[in-house]
Amino acid sequence: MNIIKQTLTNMRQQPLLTGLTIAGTALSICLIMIVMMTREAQIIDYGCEPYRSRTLYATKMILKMKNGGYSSGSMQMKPIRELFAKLKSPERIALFSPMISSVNVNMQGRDNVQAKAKAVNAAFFNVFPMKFIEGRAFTQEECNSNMPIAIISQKTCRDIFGQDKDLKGRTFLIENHEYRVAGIVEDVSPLLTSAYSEIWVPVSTVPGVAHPLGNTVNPEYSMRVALLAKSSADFSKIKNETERALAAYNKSISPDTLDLMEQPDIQEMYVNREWSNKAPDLTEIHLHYALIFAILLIVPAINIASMTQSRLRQRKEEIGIRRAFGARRSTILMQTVTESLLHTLASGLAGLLLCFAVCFMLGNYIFPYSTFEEITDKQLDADILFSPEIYGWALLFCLLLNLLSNIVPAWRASRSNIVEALK
Amino acid sequence: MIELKEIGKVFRTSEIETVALDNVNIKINKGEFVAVMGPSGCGKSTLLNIIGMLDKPTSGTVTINGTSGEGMKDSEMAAFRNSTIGFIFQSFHLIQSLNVIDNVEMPLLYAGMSAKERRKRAEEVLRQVGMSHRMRHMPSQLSGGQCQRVAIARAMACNPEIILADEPTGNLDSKMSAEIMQLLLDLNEKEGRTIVMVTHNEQQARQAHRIIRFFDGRQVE
Repeated sequence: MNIIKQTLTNMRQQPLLTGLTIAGTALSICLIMIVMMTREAQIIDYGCEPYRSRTLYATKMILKMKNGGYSSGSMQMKPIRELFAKLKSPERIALFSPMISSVNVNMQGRDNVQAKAKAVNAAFFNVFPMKFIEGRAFTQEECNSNMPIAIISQKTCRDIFGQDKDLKGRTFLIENHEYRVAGIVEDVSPLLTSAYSEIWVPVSTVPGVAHPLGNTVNPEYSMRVALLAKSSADFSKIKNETERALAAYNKSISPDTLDLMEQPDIQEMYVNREWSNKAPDLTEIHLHYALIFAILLIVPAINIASMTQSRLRQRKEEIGIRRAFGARRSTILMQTVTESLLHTLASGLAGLLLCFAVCFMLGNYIFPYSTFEEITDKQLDADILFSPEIYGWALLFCLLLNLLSNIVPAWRASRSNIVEALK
Repeated sequence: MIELKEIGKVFRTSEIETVALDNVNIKINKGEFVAVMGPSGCGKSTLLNIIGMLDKPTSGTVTINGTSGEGMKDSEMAAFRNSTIGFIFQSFHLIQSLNVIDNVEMPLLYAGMSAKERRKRAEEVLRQVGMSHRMRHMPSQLSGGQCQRVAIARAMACNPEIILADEPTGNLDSKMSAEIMQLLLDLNEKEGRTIVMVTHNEQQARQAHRIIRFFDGRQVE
């Protein structure tokens, strides 16, 4: 208690030094949390993508021709129908078009509104469960019967109809084609890139370039598959079945061959799969993160070490007095370590608050895949804004670094000559 | 009680060697008040530091209450200082970031006393030195005389048998010096504490039972 009281007094008495030490560590924690948050926003289970940890994805493919040529690009409907749709081991198989640009929607006789639309199958709403305000998701039967129905977000309802309730069964136009409202869902955060859209229509109603959505997406040539496993333990089972199915599929398209490039992917591979002809190197990505963290942590650690050294030099006399009156070296060391802990805790709290402030103010620039959408505070889900695990690790790392940067100066101070210290 | 045998202390740097104490032999009995005098740089403070186990002699042995400092570990020395010796310094050496009562409690903390006991004992010794009305003050809010009273209270906190005072009145005016001197005399006479005091003041030294005089690291009287 005495040590804590004294540490607080020391902190008050040296506002500049204390401020700089806390600010340095707080900034470090804040940056680590932001970096981790941007990563977590893509990976962890949250919002209406709660099963990411037990979902596998296939989004790209290479078709290798007999003559040595090849064509790489987005996953096409043919292999989805003939390969993925036949898999038995996944619990659900969701199909969805990748993010597409805006389409014109309107209510008869009213002005056009721009909205994002996505072509999906019925299982999509099982893999990416949304909060229905009204109505329900469409069934596979409705999908199969090419029924022109749509699920709409609350915001888009307001844009089109001027209201977001009592709209089930109402009709509206997508690029002048009539659709009926089957359900209204809460707005989905654009950070949830698989689930995100403003209007979801059955993939069967989007047959190709002739269709309204065909201007921007042709599901025949650009779709994604999400395979929901019972648990991540089933991943190898699904992958093995996919390999067998691929072999059979390749036999059917011989002499051409389809290359899935190690797909289906786990979430982390999926979000990092940028190129259609190359699988991402997760080791390289992890090393990249490790390097960022090392820089974020080492710079303030050096700063803190030099500040501790300077603070202990100023407190040389106090250390001498304490040792004269019976403090052991280990006690002095312990006191410095306690101070370090208090500094880190204060920095941790400041870092967390700073991180929240930065996320709310600069969300648009920080989060990936969000450049086309404004990130509002409502869309920054609490699950990604505060992950106790990330915060705990960031705090622990800073604590360790603070300790490491404090121990050497503290150890030197504890071994200093008492008589010299009291001169 | 305190026995110094053939004590030598040499300070060495890469270039020079300074003999601070040369073959010093002193015996101080329990309850004695000894004044140590001599010109600046003659080794008085070095002697006090060696008696107080703040420094180790280059040669010779220090025995206090039958315990030799030779071969003692740092932690043993710290515990011994805490229980047996109280220090009073010329420049008070109060911890500026602690208030009066916390300064006095500090040695008790290292003695392993509970917070309640510490507070009780600190209040008791502060009352004894007439500083109970300044317990919550910071050292910077006190006069020199008051600081030295607090330092005396701190030295007494663990109830040590020996008090080592290094020019305790060196920074005080004559009135304050007389008050501090009286406090030390009371500690010796009424409580039977052994006091070794380094001083330049002949008048104060004469109030002690015995004067030990030093010159160039040697005991001359």
